[in-house]
Amino acid sequence: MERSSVRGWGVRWASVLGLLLVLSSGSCKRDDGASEADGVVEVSFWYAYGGTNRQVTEELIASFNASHPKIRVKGTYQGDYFEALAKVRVASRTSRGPAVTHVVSESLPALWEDGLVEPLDGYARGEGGATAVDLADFIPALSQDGTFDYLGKEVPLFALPFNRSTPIVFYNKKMLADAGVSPPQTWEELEAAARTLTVREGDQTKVWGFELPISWWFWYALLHQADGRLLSEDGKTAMFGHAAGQEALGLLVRMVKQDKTMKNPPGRDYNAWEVANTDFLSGRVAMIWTSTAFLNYLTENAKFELGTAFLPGFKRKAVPTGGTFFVVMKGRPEAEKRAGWEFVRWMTEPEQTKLWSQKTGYMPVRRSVVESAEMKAFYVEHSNWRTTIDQLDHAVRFPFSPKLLEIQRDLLQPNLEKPVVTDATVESVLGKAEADANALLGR
Amino acid sequence: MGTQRRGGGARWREALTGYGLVLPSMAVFAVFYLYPVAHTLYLSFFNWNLTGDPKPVGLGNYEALLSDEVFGEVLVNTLTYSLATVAVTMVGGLGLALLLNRPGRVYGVLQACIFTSYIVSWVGVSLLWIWMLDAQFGPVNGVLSAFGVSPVDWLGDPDLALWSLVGVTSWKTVGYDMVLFLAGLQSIPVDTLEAAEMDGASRWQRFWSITFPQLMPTTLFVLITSVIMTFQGFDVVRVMTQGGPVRATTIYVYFIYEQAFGYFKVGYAAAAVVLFFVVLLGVTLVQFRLFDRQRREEAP
Amino acid sequence: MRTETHPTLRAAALAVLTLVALLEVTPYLWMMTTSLKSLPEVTTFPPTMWPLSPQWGNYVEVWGSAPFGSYLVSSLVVTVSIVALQSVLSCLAGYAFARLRFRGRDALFYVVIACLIIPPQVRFISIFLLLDTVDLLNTYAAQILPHASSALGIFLMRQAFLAVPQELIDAAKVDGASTLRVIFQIMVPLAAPTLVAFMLFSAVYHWNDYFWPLIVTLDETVRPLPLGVALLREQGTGARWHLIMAGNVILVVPLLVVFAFAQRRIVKAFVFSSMK
Repeated sequence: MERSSVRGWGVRWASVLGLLLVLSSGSCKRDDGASEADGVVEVSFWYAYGGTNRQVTEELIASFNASHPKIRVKGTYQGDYFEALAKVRVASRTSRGPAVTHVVSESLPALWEDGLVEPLDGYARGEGGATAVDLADFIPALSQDGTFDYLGKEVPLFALPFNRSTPIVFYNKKMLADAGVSPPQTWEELEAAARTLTVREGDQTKVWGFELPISWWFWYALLHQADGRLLSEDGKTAMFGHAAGQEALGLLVRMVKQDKTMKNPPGRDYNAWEVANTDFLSGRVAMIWTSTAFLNYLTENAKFELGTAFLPGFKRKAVPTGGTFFVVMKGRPEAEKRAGWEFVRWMTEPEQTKLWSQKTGYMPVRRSVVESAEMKAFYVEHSNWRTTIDQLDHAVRFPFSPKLLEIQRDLLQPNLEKPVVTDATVESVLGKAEADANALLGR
Repeated sequence: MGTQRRGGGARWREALTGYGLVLPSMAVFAVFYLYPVAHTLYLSFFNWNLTGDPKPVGLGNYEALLSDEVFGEVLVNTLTYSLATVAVTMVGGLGLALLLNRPGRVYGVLQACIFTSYIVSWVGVSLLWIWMLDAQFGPVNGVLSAFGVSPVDWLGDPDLALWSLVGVTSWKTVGYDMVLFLAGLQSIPVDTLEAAEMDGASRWQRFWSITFPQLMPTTLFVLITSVIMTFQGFDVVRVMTQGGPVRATTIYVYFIYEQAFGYFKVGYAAAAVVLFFVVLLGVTLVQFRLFDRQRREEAP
Repeated sequence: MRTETHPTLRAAALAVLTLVALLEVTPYLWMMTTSLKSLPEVTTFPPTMWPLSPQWGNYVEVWGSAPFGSYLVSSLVVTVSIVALQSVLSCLAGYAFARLRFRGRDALFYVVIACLIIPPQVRFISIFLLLDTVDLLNTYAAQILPHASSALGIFLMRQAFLAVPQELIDAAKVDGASTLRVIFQIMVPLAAPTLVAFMLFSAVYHWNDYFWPLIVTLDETVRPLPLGVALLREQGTGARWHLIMAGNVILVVPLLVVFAFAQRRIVKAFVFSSMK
């Protein structure tokens, strides 16, 4: 009895194995790359939108495919911006990379210098049968030219703006009204407001006045509000460790350590932003700064009325732009690249950008949309959606340096927190980062 | 071993069978274990950002690593995390096993509960614990506040963050140690213990002179596998703290991943991999030596 | 140690155990109840345990938000393939190392031990590039082949096979049994507990593997469940914790079910598998 049951067992195993091997070899060749079957060009689009943004994206893709029978765009969600970027770089060496993707502004210079992305100016002019685009209709501060200081270099068009944002203030209207505080316009007012709004019970802070992830983007805003610059005009020297940079970081250090009116949410990158959002929703904090991208999410889920405002200024008002640009990858076949252009052009057309911005918190990227009667009416109804657009008057640029992303991710982002959570001084931390950046730029 | 010596032809066949049986496994190891180690060693002498051509830099990456203070921090973090977690889980696991080592349904259920956390994924556990440890509205601080303890910033305080991860990891893996120790305990012959008891040995004495020595092989096995597993810690960091705050929770494997896929410094990451491997190999060999000596001392 | 235990000591021990068990189990209960809440409920403070009214729709929403069916299938295919392959190869190699003599046997076994300590994070860069060269990225094979054999499995099976009395093998050989017969009809049944234990550990490890698929998969077609669940952590819209928890429950439940069935087996397996 033993023997036959063992044998039966063995046979079962063998058949299971065989089946699995057949299954896996059968599904071995999953083609996600582009192919040209029956005249339809397949375009692989890698995106980093999750949640509701993802749904909107997929709807748009479906709509594009329906209206463009010769092109089939296939979208894949790849994780957050930085994960997706890593995958794009890695995959660009393989035959399975995407034809179109979108990347944060700070990563554009390196992608361009590394020769990974296709110039788009030809397509924009309508060369080779491509559909032309009215570049003048793009909101200047959001377009490639308006986002970068080219440092004297000649750089053609290679990226189209898609989901663009600025940091804005979100505040709990009731809390501010109850405390008799109006949204702060300057750093001084911010510190004062935070002090008034913080509620403590013994050594427990029941409500924080202010919460901000100690993140590159916000510090960049503060740096420019203090009249500083990241790099010199020729982009060869780092200047962020000078007085302005120190004042910028110093403000946050003061509010966290001395005033104890600001909460520093834990986690890196967007994890900290999530914490800030959730704290705001649960009424644990009165004011936060975060991307306008979260406007829909916060408005829908807040149990209170929320208001938005410009970031306060210091020597001046200043905000960086955020979000991503579309790019077309250079290493793909011509047909794919041309089809990819059609897709990104279509996605940034007034109809689509309007739909996108209404369903998310991002800004429409076209002047004609912002100035249209429909949107004007929309903004009257939804004044919070206007804040980011009006704030563009104070937009500052990024230097078009191939080292920009590395300076941000490797030298600054992990270290900005140091003076806030340890005893390190702002001068020493920024000084070291600046020295490292100079070494990097010199190479 | 008592196998009868057979004639020459049979020996040939035996060898052939032997090679045949190990061949598939060896092929897998050669391609997916040995080759990558060799290739990584090769890559460590270059600078490469995944898109251009690799540039040879000789020992440059190693020099940079050894003089990089971040690397030093990472080493310290990894050793701290690993040794602390192993210590807690081994002591905890043994303690729980001792308490559980009795018959009864209840003990079976309790054992199952404790072991559950081992089999669920790190992804699920990490997200869960971020919530639990939230400084403002996590249940942990909620419970502590009932005892009048002011809120602790478990994940945001650079001095605490790594220990929070030690805690979470211990919580998740103590069940593994417990089950193994339990098995070890239950294979100790009861007669020896009973005899000692009749001779008047106290519980304490019985533990140290009989139980503990007999548990040695189990202990060493748990020690080796636990050290290996904790040195390979990655998921918990990636989901909970992303190496922060200020690199306080950047441990070895996370560091390598960050360098290769975050900053595209593949050569640098490769050099770190080589050093990591050397360290882990050394640590394991030392433990294995102990293990083997134990085995040999125990006459089979 | 099971004779005279003072009743109060026994009660104390039980209390400690119960406390620990609760500590281990409560987070899961909380995860499950949170998965049934609505988002504003999740963000309240102090945190609540039970949802006001169970939002079963969360599961529907999660399931529809990403191809969870595909994720499940991928996880099943990959995990089952790996465990099956590893089991077979470990038995084959384990037998050879335990009972056969051939030149270089011990050296090869040390190689196996060395592989035991090479973690995936040390191998991934090179394997990624290798897989791309042979155009196997983003396939099931990419997830299965690198794990086709297990150093731990070989180690454990060798150990177990060493303990089998030679007479049984000799008797089978006298009956004319081939090597494969000997392995699968004599050795494996006797070492069944060890094999079962190994299979379960391997299944748990690979079912939950998040890192490897993160590296070698590029899109949804072969993406397994842990990765799919991790991606629920969306950025740009704000975290929807209730859905994230629902996703995690979906990830955990299959294992809990398997475990519940196999729990007795596992414990027995451990008791018998020789750690000596």
